[in-house]
Amino acid sequence: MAVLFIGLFVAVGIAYPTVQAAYDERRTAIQDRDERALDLRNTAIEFKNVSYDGTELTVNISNNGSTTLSVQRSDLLVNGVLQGQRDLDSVSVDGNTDRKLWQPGEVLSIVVTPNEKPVRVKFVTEQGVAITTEVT
Amino acid sequence: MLVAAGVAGTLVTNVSEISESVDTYGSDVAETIDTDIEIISDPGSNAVYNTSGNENITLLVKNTGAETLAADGSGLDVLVNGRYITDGNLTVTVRDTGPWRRGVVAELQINQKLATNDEHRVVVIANENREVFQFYVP
Repeated sequence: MAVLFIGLFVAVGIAYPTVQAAYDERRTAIQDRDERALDLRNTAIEFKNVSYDGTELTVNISNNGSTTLSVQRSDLLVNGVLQGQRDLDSVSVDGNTDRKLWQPGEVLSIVVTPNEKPVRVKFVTEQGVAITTEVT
Repeated sequence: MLVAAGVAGTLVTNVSEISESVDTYGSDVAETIDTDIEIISDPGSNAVYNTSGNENITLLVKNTGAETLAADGSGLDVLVNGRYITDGNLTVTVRDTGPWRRGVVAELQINQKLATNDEHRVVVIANENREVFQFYVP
């Protein structure tokens, strides 16, 4: 009888910490996901102007949301082709090329020399929020 | 006495095994919740199908979750118009090399011929996260 109780205690001793840890891991993951969802809701960007002078394409985007976006984790697609960070002529936030953070209210300016005449431009942020426009 | 010992022993062994499984399951669930991808290819452009004349589908997939995904694309399942694409017909290249972290884009080259003048559907699944991409090939 006593042996059974000891066995039961040992079993609970094994099971409880593992179940607790699994529950905690899941709860942390759900909380992280909720934070990402809130970030997503607070993100809003808009093309201020997009111009092509025959050689260079200049794209100006304003951060109209409430989240600070990352310059390096954002992507620019010209005619559906992803422009790598190294292919860009210049990237600046409010005129400063050293900036890596793009705060609400600031304008991101990207200058790139495309291989062909740009027709469509798409910009995607770190969270996946994307805006598309045609080049006039 | 002997029976009680036997029961206790079985109880402890089984609970041990179940515990291990709960641990693995907990990690899997956390990984699934942390994973999120987005297909950022522009369907309105002609950079999706047959870009260099080799009748391949090129998709750009961005990691928008907190989980770092396998850089060779082994964690991805791709279906084109409902048909599963085998590893031999799928090439995944992570942009700027390195691990496929949050914010990084990977390029998927799918070796699959598509009918022209028709609409097509590609589904990319990563850790139970489904993303659907529909486009028209003129």
